[in-house]
Amino acid sequence: MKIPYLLALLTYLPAAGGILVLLVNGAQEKVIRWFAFLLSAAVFVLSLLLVASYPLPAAGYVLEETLGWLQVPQLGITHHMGVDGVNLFLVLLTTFLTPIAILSSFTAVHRKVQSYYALLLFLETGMLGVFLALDLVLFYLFWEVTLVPMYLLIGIWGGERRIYAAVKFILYTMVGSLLMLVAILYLHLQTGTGSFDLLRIAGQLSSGAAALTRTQELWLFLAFFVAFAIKVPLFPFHTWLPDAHVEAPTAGSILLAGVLLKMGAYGILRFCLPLFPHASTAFAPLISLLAVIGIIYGALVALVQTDMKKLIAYSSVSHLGFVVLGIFSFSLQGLQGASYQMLNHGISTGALFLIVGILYERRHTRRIEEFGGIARSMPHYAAATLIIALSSIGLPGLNGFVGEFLILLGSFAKNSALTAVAVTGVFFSAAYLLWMYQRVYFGPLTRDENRQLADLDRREWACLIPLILMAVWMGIYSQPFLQRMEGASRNILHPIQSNQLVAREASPDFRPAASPKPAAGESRIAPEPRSFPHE
Amino acid sequence: METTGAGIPGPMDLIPRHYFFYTNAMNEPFPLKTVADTLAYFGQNMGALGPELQLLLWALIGCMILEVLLPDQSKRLTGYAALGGIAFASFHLYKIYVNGFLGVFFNETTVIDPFSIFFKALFLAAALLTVLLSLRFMEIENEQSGEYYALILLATIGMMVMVSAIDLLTIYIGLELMAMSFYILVGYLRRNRLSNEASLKIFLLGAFASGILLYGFSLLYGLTGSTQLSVLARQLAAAPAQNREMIFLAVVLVIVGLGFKIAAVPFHMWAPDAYQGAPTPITAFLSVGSKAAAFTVMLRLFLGSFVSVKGWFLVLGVVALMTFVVGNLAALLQTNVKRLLAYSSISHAAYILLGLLAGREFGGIAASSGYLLIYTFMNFGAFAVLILMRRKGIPGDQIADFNGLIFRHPVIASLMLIFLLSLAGIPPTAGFIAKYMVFAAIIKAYMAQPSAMLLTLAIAGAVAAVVALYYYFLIVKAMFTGESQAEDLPALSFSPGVTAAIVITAGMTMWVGIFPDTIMRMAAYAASNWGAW
Repeated sequence: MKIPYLLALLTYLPAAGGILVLLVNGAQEKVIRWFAFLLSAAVFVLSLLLVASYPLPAAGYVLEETLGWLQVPQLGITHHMGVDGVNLFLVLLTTFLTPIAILSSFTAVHRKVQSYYALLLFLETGMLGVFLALDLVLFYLFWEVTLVPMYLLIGIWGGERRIYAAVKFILYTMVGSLLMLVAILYLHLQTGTGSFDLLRIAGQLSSGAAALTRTQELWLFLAFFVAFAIKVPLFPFHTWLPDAHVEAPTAGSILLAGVLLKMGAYGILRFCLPLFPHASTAFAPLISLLAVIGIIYGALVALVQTDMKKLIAYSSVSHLGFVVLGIFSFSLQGLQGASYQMLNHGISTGALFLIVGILYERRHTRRIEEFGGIARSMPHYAAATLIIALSSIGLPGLNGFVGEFLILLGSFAKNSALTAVAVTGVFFSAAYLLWMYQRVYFGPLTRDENRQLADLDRREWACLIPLILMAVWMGIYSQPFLQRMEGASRNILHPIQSNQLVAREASPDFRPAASPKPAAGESRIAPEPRSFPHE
Repeated sequence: METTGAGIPGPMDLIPRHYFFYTNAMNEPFPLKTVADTLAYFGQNMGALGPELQLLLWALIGCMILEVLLPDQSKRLTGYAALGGIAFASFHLYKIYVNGFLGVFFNETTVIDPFSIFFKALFLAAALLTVLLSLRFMEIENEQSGEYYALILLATIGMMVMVSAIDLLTIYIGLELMAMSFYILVGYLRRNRLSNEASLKIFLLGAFASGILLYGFSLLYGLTGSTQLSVLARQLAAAPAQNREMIFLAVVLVIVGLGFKIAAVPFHMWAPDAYQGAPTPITAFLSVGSKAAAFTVMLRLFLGSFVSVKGWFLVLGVVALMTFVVGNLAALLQTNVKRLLAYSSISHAAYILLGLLAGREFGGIAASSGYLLIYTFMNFGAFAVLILMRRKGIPGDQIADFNGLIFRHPVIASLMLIFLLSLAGIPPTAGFIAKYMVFAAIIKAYMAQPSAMLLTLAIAGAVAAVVALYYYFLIVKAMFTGESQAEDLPALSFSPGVTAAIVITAGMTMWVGIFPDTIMRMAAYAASNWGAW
């Protein structure tokens, strides 16, 4: 099925729904909740069309569209969006997690219901825009647009120290993104294409029509990378994350961990590597080292946490260290593993935050020592938690294993010593999660409050089952995902590998096939896959 | 004018010669021997002053005479007279724009070019918003009167004269007309101690700054023998080497005088007190109109007449840096929203200076002009919300007064959020477009001529935006997360005027943010054919 302007429709439908929610009478809480849920579910169904129309094997952008947005051509800003193997599943992850996040807050949120669901829908628009935009300025716009809903979600519906956490979140992100804006403008002027279109700028740079000096490239890379590293978050830029997670409401945590952190890693994949291959290679050892420090440090800090949410927040630092390690291994396995691990982390960590949220709703505490033996009062809940925890640890047969294995495989060839250290992170993750599991679910039921805890109800099952199913599916049958990621991963690696070749053989005669630009207002599906020049 | 025979200059020689030789629009000599000649001369030139004359007419006849005739309870009608004046002036300006009535008038002292048309429209918009905001506000303050609106219109005339002026003395006349009106307007709340203090401060410091500016102008006249900007540019470029220091001194004096008007650090001392004490609509008008008018003069002087002068770039660069630092850091400590917006207005001046420093070739004029127009809307919007908060017996200008506003007035809180996001420069609001244009210009300039100053300025601008985000979010935080205190607060003071102002400003802020090409085209129009006279 072919829907015109599918990408724009996907992006703006949630925001339109958000405006509608604001117009409804605020007392109709039930209507608002169900409307928000059904709308986000509809967006998910719509996004499945992207997979359905994805030809295999495909390399470049299978779906591109340009809207007539600004009528001043000199500006060079276009509403250019596209889907390839890198962002396809991140878009799906966003549309998949948003309905779950909305469903999970049906009973948790009673204050300002109207604004809450409207903000969740606005946030979805921002996140989808970030993943789909292929114009640097458009990307920056959406990148900033996600800040405000998240700030308000944390600041209004958060925990006790919510204001501190929200301000820290927005200031950290802003520091990075303003430097990125300066770099975007500089890059635009330097390449002299008169366009902010990523594909055109990348084409100019790789074909040699425009060149950056080494110093320029290093600084530009840093300006982009710091913005993304803060979002990932890469050690030592991670300090905002535990605060934001602990204070955010459950749905906020799910989306923050599940999607917003991926925006950082996605940015590195989409912008840093293709635009600045030399600088990426130059900084790779340092960044890999930071990633490994993050893996170990995050895991060790998670081990000593007494608050379950904080524990999961630090586990995110550790897991995203793996993602960055995979990206900067510059190998196909590493890159695919990183892309895969992003999805895994979204599903597993999103589910873990959901699980903690379910317990918090019942007991209004997240402290581990308050619990013990609740597997007896909530057997179903305990079983669901175990599956998710094991998937997060990376047990073979569940999703986490595939991603981590591919990453370690890719990075081992590049730097075996560092990878060996990183492997201990897997061990630690088993330690902190299983230890938490043991203290919370097993042992004697010491507290009376924990005896009468109700097990999962139908709505909570409805939130968890899709996540568990995905964790199992992605663990035993990863082919459909990896297949679609492969072509795009190769494309990203190409400038870097040809750059390494240049360094080795001094033969810079590679010209990538120029990507034809669709005319304004046209939406097209690539009829056939493009071939890889280097294969 | 003949010089006295012995070569000793008489008093009349101190006046620039071209004031006495009239020319018509074709620049032909025009004898003013008879009454008919005089009428014909003015007939040929007056069209250029159409909008100003409309305003003057309505200010004097509409506002002042109605003030005398009307009984106390219907003084508000004088405000409607002011609106009428603005409407007619806008229409006249529109005709000038449509008919392309461009050229040099009044003996090369006044120019109608795209730049001046753009800014006259901006001033009229600012005046319109000021009057709309004042109608109910002055009622609450019990100070409704015709002079108030007449003074707003006179200040607007002053600004319009400034932007059209291409002669130092004409600039000065416009500047003084504007400044005098503001001295009175700032102190208009006679029974309010803060308002009186504000008026005295702005008057004393303002008169002092005008004196310094005039000193600079007189040095320039002494050095070049002319007050015309075009002659000035030629003469300064060809100035002998021994005059360098004197020229630099004159330019620095001009920077001091105009720096006071745009409230750049270190000439900003008056601004927080004046902004806090003035009636809120006047605060908005002062922070937008007066700043924009002074910037138009700065753009004409520094990018037109002083291009050949060495050194001002560094001085203005340091001023911009100091403005970033002081404006933003001081804003962090404020608990009063009006004072906070005053400091924020100081730091916005630094961004506009960035456009000036980027220079004309790199889109600096368009960037500064566009920034000023966008700033007009977002700043007036924030002040409009502040005016809603002013109720009988409640000043409503503390940050704490905004606590929990989202729970009591969700629409107003959301609109305030839009204005604050825009002031902080977050997309998809207009403020982002403004920052974008300025950064684009400064980076373009840096790439053409790399200098440490330009790089420092660009980085300082980026860092300052983060600091600014923090203090704007102090208000957001109060609105959305603060505990609302009393339930029985009186209702906000809604009125048709304020509602209209909020709708206009919020609409423009969002529309420009999402579809920025219109504003960019307008800014490009303002910078087109610049200085061709």
